[in-house]
Amino acid sequence: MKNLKLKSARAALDLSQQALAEAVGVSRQTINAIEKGDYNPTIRLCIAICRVLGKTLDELFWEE
Amino acid sequence: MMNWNHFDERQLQKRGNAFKLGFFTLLIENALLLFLFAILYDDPVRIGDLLPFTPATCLTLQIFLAVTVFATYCIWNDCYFSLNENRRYLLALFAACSILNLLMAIAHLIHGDFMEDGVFGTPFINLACGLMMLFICSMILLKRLRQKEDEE
Repeated sequence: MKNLKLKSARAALDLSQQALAEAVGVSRQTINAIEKGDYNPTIRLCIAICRVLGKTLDELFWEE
Repeated sequence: MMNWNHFDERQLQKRGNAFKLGFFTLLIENALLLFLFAILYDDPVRIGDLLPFTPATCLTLQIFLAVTVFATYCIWNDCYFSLNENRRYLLALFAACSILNLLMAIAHLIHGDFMEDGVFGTPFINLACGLMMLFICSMILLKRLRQKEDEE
């Protein structure tokens, strides 16, 4: 399932996948895979992404 | 502060799958070879009667195939290179290895000693290594082309 919340939060901060990847210490392909729903990140990576994007885990990763 | 010389969690997971694939490739190759020997021959050292390779060549080819499976899987899943690894340098290194091995194989072909006593020996390993490196280089380039198309 695609993670559109992550994609829109990143776009709102005008961050590229590469920039977010560098900020959290992963490859651009990993961010791309998370957004496409191809990869389930660990809680550690989720938290790192949330910190960079200024969002909570619920806001980015909780499925309604 | 990020450490640039490491694989991220997704890459490590995918590399685990790649190692598993490479391992099972080697296992199946060995099992098939053993099976062939068990059926056709009582003496397992008479490998040359069954395949036109010396035992060392046969073993090396098996390893090359397993490495190729591992590398191909890694390349297509973006986990062959660690974060910020110098890809151009490695690609150039692989290309140089490939060319050197192929040149050595060609030199053996020209001198007419590519086969020894009717079986393929070390020169064949050069050919196989050259082709393997060439294949890996092509996969890296192909993946790079695909990636450029898929960029955001």
